Amino acid sequence: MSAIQAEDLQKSFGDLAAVDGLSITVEAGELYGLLGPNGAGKTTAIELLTGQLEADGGSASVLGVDPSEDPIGVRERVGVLPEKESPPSFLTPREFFDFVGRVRGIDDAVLDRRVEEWAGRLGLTEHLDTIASDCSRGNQQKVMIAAAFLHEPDAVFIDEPLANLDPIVQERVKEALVDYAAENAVVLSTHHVEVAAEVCTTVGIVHNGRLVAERTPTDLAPDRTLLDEFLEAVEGDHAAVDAGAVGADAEPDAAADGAGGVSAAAPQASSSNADATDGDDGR
Amino acid sequence: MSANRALFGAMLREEWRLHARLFGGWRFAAFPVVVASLAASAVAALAWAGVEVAVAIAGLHALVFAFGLQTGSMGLVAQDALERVLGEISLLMSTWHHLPLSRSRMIAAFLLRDLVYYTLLIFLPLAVAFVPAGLLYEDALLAAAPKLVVSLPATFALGLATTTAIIALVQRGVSGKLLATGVLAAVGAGIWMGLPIAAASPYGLYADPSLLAVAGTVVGIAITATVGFAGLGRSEPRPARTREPALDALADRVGDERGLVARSLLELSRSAGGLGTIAFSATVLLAVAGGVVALVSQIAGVDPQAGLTFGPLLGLSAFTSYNWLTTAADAPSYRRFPLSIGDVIAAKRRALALVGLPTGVAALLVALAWLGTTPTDAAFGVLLFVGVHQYVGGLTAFLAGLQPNEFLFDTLLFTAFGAAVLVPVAPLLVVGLVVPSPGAVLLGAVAVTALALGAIGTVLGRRAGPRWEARYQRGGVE
Repeated sequence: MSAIQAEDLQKSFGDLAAVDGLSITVEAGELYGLLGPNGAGKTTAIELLTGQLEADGGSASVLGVDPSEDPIGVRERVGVLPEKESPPSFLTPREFFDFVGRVRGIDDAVLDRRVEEWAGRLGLTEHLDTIASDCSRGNQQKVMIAAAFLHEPDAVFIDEPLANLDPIVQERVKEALVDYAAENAVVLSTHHVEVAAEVCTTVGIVHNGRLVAERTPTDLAPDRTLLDEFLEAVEGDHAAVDAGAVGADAEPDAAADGAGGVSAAAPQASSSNADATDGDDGR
Repeated sequence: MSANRALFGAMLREEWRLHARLFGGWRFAAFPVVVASLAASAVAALAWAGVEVAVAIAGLHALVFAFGLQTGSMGLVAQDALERVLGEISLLMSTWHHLPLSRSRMIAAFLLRDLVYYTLLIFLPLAVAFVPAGLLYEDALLAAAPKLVVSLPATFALGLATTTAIIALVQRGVSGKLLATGVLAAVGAGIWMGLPIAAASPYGLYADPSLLAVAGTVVGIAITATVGFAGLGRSEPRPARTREPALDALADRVGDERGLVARSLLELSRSAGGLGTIAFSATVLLAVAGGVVALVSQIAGVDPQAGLTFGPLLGLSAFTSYNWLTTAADAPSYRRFPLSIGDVIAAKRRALALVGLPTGVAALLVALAWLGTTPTDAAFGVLLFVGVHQYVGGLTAFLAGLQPNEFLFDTLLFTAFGAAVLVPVAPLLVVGLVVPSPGAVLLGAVAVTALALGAIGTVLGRRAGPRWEARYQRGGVE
């Protein structure tokens, strides 16, 4: 069984279809990138897969657990790094890690060792006893990154992890993600094409709540970059949406032209009904 | 357009849009209608029961002054908590450091905006609420309405400005604390010596409109506001604070396996204001209760039962205490972990019991010892406090989940909350205020009511978790 599997996942907020039929598969040993523009639906997809939101339709399995059926069970097994979140303002990072250890049932000695490891790796050691609200944004982000990995989960969902980090720490985080994905499943949500191209084994391009393409960065044609693929897929999707809107009440010929444009623009959208919508656009 | 007008206008629009977005425009706009309706019912009930108009209106001013004190403390004692209350919403207030506007001006505009909103949402409806009862029962109630339009906002403004002045002075170190204590002591001494302090306050604008009342009100508000704005406008860079790890030890001490209770307590104790915010809420309610009891004694010639009156009123502090405990972190921040909303609410309610109950009982016993009462009255007062505290805590969690402050400005929720509090608490207060020596049957009924309220609060608190978990799962909560 795949580590993470979503089939025709759907979620709407009012009239907005935030996730409109997402189908992805992520295996252990894979670093899967959810790449899309702001508001594409990536964050909502992660919230669905980690049981923070209940899907309106479709099915999902994360490490053998259905997030809709057992949301707490899923979150026991996975790690989550949310996009917009800081550690608790009035706790120190060390206290926050103690809290995470208690919630996740990590043995004290093991927790201490892992905290030291992650703090050392991210350059956080000297800030462990500083009140979190007095830490810099970058150090707050390091705390959140470490907290997602302390229980060494088999699957991790990471949403824009590099924000506010200096270039040195960015490199360390990318290395850590690649290392971790060697034996575990990692889903990385980002709108930075270069980051996805550098670290991901597979990239799903999402737009307007749908998966419009899926690519393997190492298998692109020599004259193509992931940015080319991304722009083509997203702009092709724009054309498809525009054509659909026009076609609904336009001449039949015009609708047919539009439809032709879609398939040409998104040749690999076999899993083309998968997608998600970011929290900031979905809600 | 001047910077002041632009700033104030932007803040007014921001407040309207914030609430209109959270609750829908009509639900926010309907708020004053609901306040007027509830207040009109209460005024009519008091008039029907023959309660002196002077007592009711003096009590109302005491409540409004306390509300002003409380609002000032919520906005300023816990500025950091305020940011958390509103989650990721960015307020104009927080942009002072990169706009060419002083912090003093921002704070002044912020509080003035609160005054305008509360006047429109609460005080004008309260004044209007006296009209129907005046037409039905007593001309004095009708005559009070236009004076209340002026005196209630002024009373609130004085409370608001007083809090800012106290905070500003207290933040200035020992000399500031001494000055604040000295001024408060002087005011207290003036009241004790029989100086016409009330006549020179905003209450005087209602009770005896005169030049003294106008001058005292204007000067009082001007001085406190100036001290407050000037003091709070000074911002000094602060070094990063460090703390020895305390979560594990605290969690072990309170038997908190997952650390949720300990986290709440630490967050509260380290926020601006700290645990003092709980004591402050209790003190404000005690002051109100004391004022009401004193007025009833003097004007109506009835000797109220202090325990039976103070107990239920202090129990209302559960709302503000729960509010303080929920401001440091929003619900989504817990949902990254294998925790349900029910787990979090249960922990918040346990933390509420740990800090709210001892603080309230201590405040109640000190007040009763000072006023002097019978052991029976004190025991029933404590019982009522615990029952109402448990009830209000559970009710708040059930209705508002982890965002009580914002969500109780939703008209529908406010109506439900207000009615659910008034129905059981108002009769208890009537017993405490107008029955000089309640008999065994009445005391038995009081005890049963206290126990029933505690039980209902417990059930509501337990049901709050699944109710709010389902809402968050659907994605229907901001």
